[in-house]
Amino acid sequence: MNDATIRARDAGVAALLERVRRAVAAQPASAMNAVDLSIARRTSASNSDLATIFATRASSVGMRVTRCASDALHTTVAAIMRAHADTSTPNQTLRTVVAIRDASLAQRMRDCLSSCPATLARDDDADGLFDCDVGITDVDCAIADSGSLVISTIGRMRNAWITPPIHLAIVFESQILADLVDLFEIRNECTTAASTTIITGPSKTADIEGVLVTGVHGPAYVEIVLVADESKHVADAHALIR
Amino acid sequence: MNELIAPTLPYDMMPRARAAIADVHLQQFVGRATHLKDEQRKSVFGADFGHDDYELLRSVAATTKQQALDQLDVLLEQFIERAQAHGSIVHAAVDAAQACAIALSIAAQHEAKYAVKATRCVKSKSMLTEEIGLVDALTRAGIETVETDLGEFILQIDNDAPSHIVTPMIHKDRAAAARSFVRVLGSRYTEDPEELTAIARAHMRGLYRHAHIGVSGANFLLAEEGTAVICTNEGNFDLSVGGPPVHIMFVGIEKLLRGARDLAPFLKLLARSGTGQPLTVYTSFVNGPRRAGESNGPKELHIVLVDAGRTGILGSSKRELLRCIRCGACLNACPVYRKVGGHSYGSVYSGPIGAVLTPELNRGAARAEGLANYPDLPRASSLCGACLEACPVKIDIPKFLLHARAELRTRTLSPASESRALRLWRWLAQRPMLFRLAIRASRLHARMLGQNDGRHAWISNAPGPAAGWTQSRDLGIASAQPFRAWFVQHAAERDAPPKEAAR
Amino acid sequence: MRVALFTTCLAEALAPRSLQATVLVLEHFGVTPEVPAEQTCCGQPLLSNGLPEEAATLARRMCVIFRAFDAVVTPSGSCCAIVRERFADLFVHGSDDHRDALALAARTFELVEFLETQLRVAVPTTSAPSPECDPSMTCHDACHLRGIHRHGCTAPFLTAFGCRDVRPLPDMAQCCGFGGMFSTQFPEVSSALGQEKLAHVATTGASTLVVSDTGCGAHLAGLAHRQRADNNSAAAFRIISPAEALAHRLGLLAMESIA
Ligand code: SF4
Repeated sequence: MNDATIRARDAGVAALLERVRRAVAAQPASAMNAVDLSIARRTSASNSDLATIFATRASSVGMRVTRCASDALHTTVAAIMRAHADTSTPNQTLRTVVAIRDASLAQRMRDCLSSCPATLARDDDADGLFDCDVGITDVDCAIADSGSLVISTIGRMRNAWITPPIHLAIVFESQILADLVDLFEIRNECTTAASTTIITGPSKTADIEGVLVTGVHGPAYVEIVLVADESKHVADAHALIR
Repeated sequence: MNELIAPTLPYDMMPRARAAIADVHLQQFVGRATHLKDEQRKSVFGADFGHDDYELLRSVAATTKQQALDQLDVLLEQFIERAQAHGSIVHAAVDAAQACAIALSIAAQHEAKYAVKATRCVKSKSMLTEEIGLVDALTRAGIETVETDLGEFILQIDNDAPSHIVTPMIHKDRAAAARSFVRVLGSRYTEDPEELTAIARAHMRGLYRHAHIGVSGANFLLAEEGTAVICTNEGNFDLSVGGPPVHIMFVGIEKLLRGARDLAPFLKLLARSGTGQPLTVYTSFVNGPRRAGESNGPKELHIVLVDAGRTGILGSSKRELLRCIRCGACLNACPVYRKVGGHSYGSVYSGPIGAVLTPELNRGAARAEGLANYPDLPRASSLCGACLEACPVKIDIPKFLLHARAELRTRTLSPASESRALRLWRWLAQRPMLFRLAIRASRLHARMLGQNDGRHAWISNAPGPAAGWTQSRDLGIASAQPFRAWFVQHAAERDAPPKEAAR
Repeated sequence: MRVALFTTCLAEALAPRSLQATVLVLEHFGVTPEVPAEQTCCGQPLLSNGLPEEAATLARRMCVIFRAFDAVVTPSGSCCAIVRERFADLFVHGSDDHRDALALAARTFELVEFLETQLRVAVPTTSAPSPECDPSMTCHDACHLRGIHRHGCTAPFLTAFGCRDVRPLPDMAQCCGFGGMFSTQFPEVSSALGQEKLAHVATTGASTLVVSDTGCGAHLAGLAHRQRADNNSAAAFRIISPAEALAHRLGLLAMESIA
């Protein structure tokens, strides 16, 4: 891009700002009073069982939640993988990409895959993503109120959770925030990472005569493994959120 | 651009409205879908917030967005600075032509940077890009641009146009989709929505992999963080932005919010108002292009801030219109929209918000074109107020319809005969004796003309201004004694002194 | 308390019985309404059709005519809502006219609202004088009642008032398509909506449709009459105002038979 184009672009932006300034000044500001945004909150952190709320709400938007103890993570993931492999062509192996920010968890998952009907795909091959059957991720945090997952591109390959038809997300109970309002009250990746996505259900459309169909562009299946974490992951997970 | 949303001007609404009313399928689809969405909206807000808190939440959103508009200059400047700090390239466009030209110039530089000419583009749903006619502009420049939202895609291959902000193919049935899939994609004929979706999915995966440019809009811009927020249910935004090396985002300047701290109420309201969901399936936050070490995501992220009539609205008494978050709730609630469908509005924006926004966005340099070109839009409303009740940011659409009608009148864009009759009415109404005489005379006249069934005289073919009335209904004039005469009698009896006292 | 009856031009022209009923019902509850002779039209047709300044002259008249009254009651939901919602905005904020308009708005009530929220009337203790006086009914509220938060209030009130058989009207929330001059400017759209409303009424099987606005009532009655002229088997029901329904229930007014 040459200097002239850049100058023209900046002049355009400056001219827009000037027009907006004049327009703002042309009308008096509204006399509306300051507002308390906390009315938007539906679920609060004082609620003792955020994990159950999260599990219920995530299920109600069409994601599948499997709860397990921390030491049962391997077997739970393996069982889910096997179930999906079985519903596909017999003896099929699932091409799986692991996009997990927590290095030790990532290693555990890669180890786990060796006992699954799965082959491991590279996690830096953008085009290869399209050939994957499963994307396994952890999350930055989760939101109980809406049953949502929050996943950023920090430490994870972008779109690993949306390109393959199956997304398997590992959520530790300590990562669950009460409400969307809380997400924006803490410093978080939504506004710092190159990209962050809040996921609330499998990919959906009702464009054709209002009939609900899942798996349009993104995954038809979102499998959430919700881990009770009295273990060392508590500290790690908190570190991720804060 | 498609004639359906960019018709010959001035636009006469009635031919399309009449056709829509006569179209049994359209009546069924649009009626059913809008009623369903409207019910879902009400029941979800009722269950999730309850009436009072929902009202409060709407007020919070209305105020928050209005306050953002009141300081839009400051927020815009802040956003630009922060977005640039994220590595985004920020452009500004005064109008549609400039916005398209920016896209074309970005595309023209493609070959020099990436050693391949830009010929393929994937586009995620955005009302603004419809407004500026972007797909046509890109296509004319040899860049094949594919709508990736399923509904928009079906409309595109069918040379049709969206008729609803949120559910663009609300007017269309599955058979139409099935036929176009056979014709354009060469797939086998199926009417099953699930199979149709699978066919589209497979087709689009190829496009995402090989596209040179991705295009999208944005639902919100966060000034304090320089972040763009995009809501979809299908996930097509994430795929459109993740693959191609270049992404261009077109955003109207009214999308700014102060920052993430103001965002939560809007996300909660948008999804519930539009489709009854707690949140849209994908709420994506974008802060510039891919970072060092990342293996995918756009290498260049362009944000084109578009004016296209918005500063005109911002500087007018109609600033409130810019609060709109394009949730579609007012369309779903609108009785007229339900009957005439989106294409009858002859514009990208249909329904109640379209009726007030379209003339404003198209005012042109002389600030006069919009209403002259769309004189029917503000009049084609029963002023029932369902739109205001449905609107999550409490835009007083009926009030703005009234304002537009007043402007039509002062600029003699509405029928002169009407104006004369109305002014005569006022003249009479200031003269009570004459006024009552006139009412009595017309009652008498009507009863002579009409067919008397004992209680009413029915007229089925009225002359003059009442002809519009009797075109489709009869006019019943009650035979009962005129109220005033009755009341005089009644009051005399009522107020007569008791008999004893009289004696 | 001095109470004025705000008759509305449309009711005087088309629905005299509804006005009679209003007077009788108010008197039944111990209120003696006066009918200021000078009143004509509140200006709604002018305001709704792009002549706000002309509407303001009529609004000013209204403020003067009803100045001496403690309450202004009308059977017409739409006219009531215009006074309440839109009058003040016709004048420069802070002016005397503006203050007067606000004051009038604060004292103006739709009949059912007045009975329910101001008089807080008790449910009649006696049953209806005859079964015909308490027919099966369904209720469509005028859309403008939304603006004064009374939309959907009429049917529950009638039930609470001891009307035996008030049936829910499917899709009551949707406009009947009247909309003032809209009904003559866009007759196709207007009547398509009206027909949908009539079809919903027919599904309830009620013999009586209660409509809380004169214009909406006349529109629906006219459509129904045309329908029956075209097709004898179309469902027949009478269309009355809430005032009439109450007056019937109290035995103050004789019920008319269905055409
Ligand atoms: S005007 Fe209100 S209800 Fe209509 S689309 Fe905009 S935000 Fe939604």
